[in-house]
Amino acid sequence: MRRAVGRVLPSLTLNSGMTILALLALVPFGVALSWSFKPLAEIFRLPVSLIPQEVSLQNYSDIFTQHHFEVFFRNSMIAAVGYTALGLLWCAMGGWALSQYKTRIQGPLFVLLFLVIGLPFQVLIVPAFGLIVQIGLANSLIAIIVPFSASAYGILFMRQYMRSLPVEVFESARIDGAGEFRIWWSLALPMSLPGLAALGIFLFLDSWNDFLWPLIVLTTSDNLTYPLGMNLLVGLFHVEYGQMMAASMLALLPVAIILIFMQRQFIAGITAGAVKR
Amino acid sequence: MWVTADGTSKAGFEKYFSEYQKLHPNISLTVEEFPFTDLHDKLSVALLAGTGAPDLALPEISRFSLLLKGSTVGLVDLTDRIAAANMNLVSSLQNNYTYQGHVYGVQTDLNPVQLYYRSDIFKQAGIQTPIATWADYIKAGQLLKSKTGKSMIAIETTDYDVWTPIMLQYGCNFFDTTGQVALGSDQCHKAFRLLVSLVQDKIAIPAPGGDQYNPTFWGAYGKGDVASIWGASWMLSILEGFVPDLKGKWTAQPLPTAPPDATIDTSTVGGNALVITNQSKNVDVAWDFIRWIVLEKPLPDQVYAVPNNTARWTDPVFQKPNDYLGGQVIGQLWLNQANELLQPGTPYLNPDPNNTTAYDVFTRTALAPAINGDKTADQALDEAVAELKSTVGQ
Amino acid sequence: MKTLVRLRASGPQPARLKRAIWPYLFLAPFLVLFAVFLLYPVVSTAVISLEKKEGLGPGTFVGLANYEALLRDPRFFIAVRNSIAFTILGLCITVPAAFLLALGLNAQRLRGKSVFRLLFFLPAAASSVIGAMIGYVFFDRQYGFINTQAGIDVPWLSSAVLILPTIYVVIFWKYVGYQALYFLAGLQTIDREIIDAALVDGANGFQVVRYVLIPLIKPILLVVVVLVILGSAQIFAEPFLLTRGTGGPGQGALTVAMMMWEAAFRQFRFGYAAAIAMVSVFGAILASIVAVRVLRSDT
Repeated sequence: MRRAVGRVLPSLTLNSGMTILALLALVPFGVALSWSFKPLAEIFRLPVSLIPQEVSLQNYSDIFTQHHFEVFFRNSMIAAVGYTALGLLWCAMGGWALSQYKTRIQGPLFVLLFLVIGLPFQVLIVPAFGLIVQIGLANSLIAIIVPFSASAYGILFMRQYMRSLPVEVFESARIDGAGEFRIWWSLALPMSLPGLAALGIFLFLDSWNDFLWPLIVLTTSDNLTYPLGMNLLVGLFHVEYGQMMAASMLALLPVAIILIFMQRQFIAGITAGAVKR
Repeated sequence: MWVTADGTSKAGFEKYFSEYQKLHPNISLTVEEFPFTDLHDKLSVALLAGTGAPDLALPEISRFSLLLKGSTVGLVDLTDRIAAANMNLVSSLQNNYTYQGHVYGVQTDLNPVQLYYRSDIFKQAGIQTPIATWADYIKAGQLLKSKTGKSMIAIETTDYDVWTPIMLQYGCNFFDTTGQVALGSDQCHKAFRLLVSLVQDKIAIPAPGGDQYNPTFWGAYGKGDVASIWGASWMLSILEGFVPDLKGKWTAQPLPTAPPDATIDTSTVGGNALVITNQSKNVDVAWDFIRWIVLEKPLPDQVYAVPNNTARWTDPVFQKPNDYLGGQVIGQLWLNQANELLQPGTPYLNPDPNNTTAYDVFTRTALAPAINGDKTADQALDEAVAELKSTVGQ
Repeated sequence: MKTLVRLRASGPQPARLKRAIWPYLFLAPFLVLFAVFLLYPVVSTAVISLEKKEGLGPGTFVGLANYEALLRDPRFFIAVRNSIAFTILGLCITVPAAFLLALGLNAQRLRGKSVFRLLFFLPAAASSVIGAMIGYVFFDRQYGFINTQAGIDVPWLSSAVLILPTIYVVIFWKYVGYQALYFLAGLQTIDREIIDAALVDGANGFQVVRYVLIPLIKPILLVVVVLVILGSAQIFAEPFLLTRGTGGPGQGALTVAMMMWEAAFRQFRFGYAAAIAMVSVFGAILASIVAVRVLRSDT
């Protein structure tokens, strides 16, 4: 009897406690959503109400008419998709090599990869900028797609994943005369789809949310990414909280969709390394 | 073309260009606006990178020096074109854009500084106007405080538009003409002490919200808690925009002086220059637009500055009474002051590639701590001088 | 042509050669990019930090002059102090909170686990820029959510003392769910029977956490701690946006990453910026090593 009570009570506290915490974590988004529907006059009027007294889509239309968030969105999408695709390709190839073959460079490469993985970005930013200028890629989307698509985390992640694939399948394919590239392309890649999905989400969000590097290499407004567009709203002469919130909500959209539909892969992409290490 | 997102520049230049386009129908111009700091940050990086810059840009004087960084200047040298076009430019103004003998920009306007005050509040407190000297201004402030509890001015801590006019009026400069840090000079100490003393004497408050570009700042003015502000001619457009309800209650007068240190009853702050980047493929077209702006652009019905072309100062628009200032003929005051600014020896910001850095260092290390009362004026200024010297390697 | 291929494929020597070349072919694109855009810049930063280099032109070797200048720059110490403050706040508040959150998420009796995970991870997946934007709406002195709803007048973003804790709140909100994810992954690998056994032996909830769970997930804890230290050294977007690139009143939220950006891309002192980068990176790595040592020795 006592035990049963003891179990019910904490379980109630646990569930309600976690619900309260989750709601707290969501309050900022709720406020952002509410503010995004407020007309400018209401945002700067006291007292401030939680629910918009007058629901307006003005902010959502303003960010496309007064500013060019459709361009920023497109640029960010191109960059994120390109970065993800390239990153997956390099990491799936490299990860495959590291998981299936023994090479002499393997040992030193691992050391390098682990060293680089957590290295604060600022350590390479000045020469990287110089390099981009020299190659003539400054102010181009390529500058934010290609250079860092060789992700150290990604290659280690794919290596880990591909090591868990059954080797017998590949060996029998080799005996049947399949070439190495074919084995990778038609066997290993399809078998690695869950891993690729997880890494893909990780890379996509990495690029979608990136701020510092695009801030440095992109200048003209037809090339800016979405976070840079939001940065412009902050510095404006008239502070436009409503537009800032509307822009934030739209930026969150792809992220939320990914999270809702691919939560498992998302989590796997972020934490795999931690558990395995 | 890149301009600052100040609420007027983009619309202004689009309008000018549509006029210009009537004469030259086969060219087009896209005006893009960026927030103040982003404009200059992006432009300087784009010039350094050699790509990603627009044809034309309108940088602001205090951050113009950013564009001179790098081993070569990324702007088109306009020296010969200016000389050939016979523009009647104000030469002391043009000095700001002259680096190593080459002129890289054409400032659009002169910005003489006035003191704007709430005539209704001053009258209520029994303050005699016009106020002639800074000592009188302080006395007036004490009178105002004791009679009404109001403050004379809100002094910015995160921007420098209140500081610059005083600095230049006192002949203080960040760097001397040889590029040595001059911020530690007597004039600078005197100017800065004056500014800080206003807060110490409780006749000024640190700016709510930090600077004039924050709505909170104008909230204090809108409520009538603060009764005056000095600023360049464009201050009038800011007042009209931020506190429209105070129409008819403001009056402008020349800037108070402090003989023998600050004798001229005006100063200057701000100003934007048209520049052409060397990434432009249409330098001649861009230059012709600049030439047209300076020489032929029709003046609007209400001006907020004096054009950088002395030949246009006779325009009747300057004789128009201004409703916001209760019918005052503000244009004539501006012209009088502009003429003073033409005199040789009038202080201007010495051009130096580190002026922008100096502004940033001064604002964070001297202005903010001293105005907020964390440090004395001299102490804060000395620290800023030390930081500036080490930053520019002196 | 055909014969040639067959000949080469059938001989034992070429076959082995082929196997030996393939891994390099697979690795080549990665290695090229990695070497050009990661290894070269890192090494180059070390070199540039010894040069006087303004803009992109060639620099001149000045030895340790940039480092000496750093030591004489009071702002650098402010930036270091702030970055350390972010690190300490992260280690002392975010990490324990994330662990507790993970415990809650891992509890058997929690219903709707995947929904909870979703809700807590949404801030983590949102960009720092979104966090900073919402920070403005929350902490605006006059019209912000906090002050207007609580009826207070606190200068969250305009006080030299408050700005760092305020920005930390934004960072906490973003990263607590992210770190909980790590802990959760670790907790899920722990066999429930171990916990049950401890409970049967009469251990209370606290003791189970302290003496069973924490030692078991120590490897994860190490990873998270290192992540926090290295992550704190590169905090940039939140303070950059919430102070409009200035570092805030009294430089109260200037971080080393911001100072480095400013030196490089607003003052174009590339040599000096490289020195800042070197010091901050080595500092962070050193701190990580110390933290790992300390945690390992403590059981």
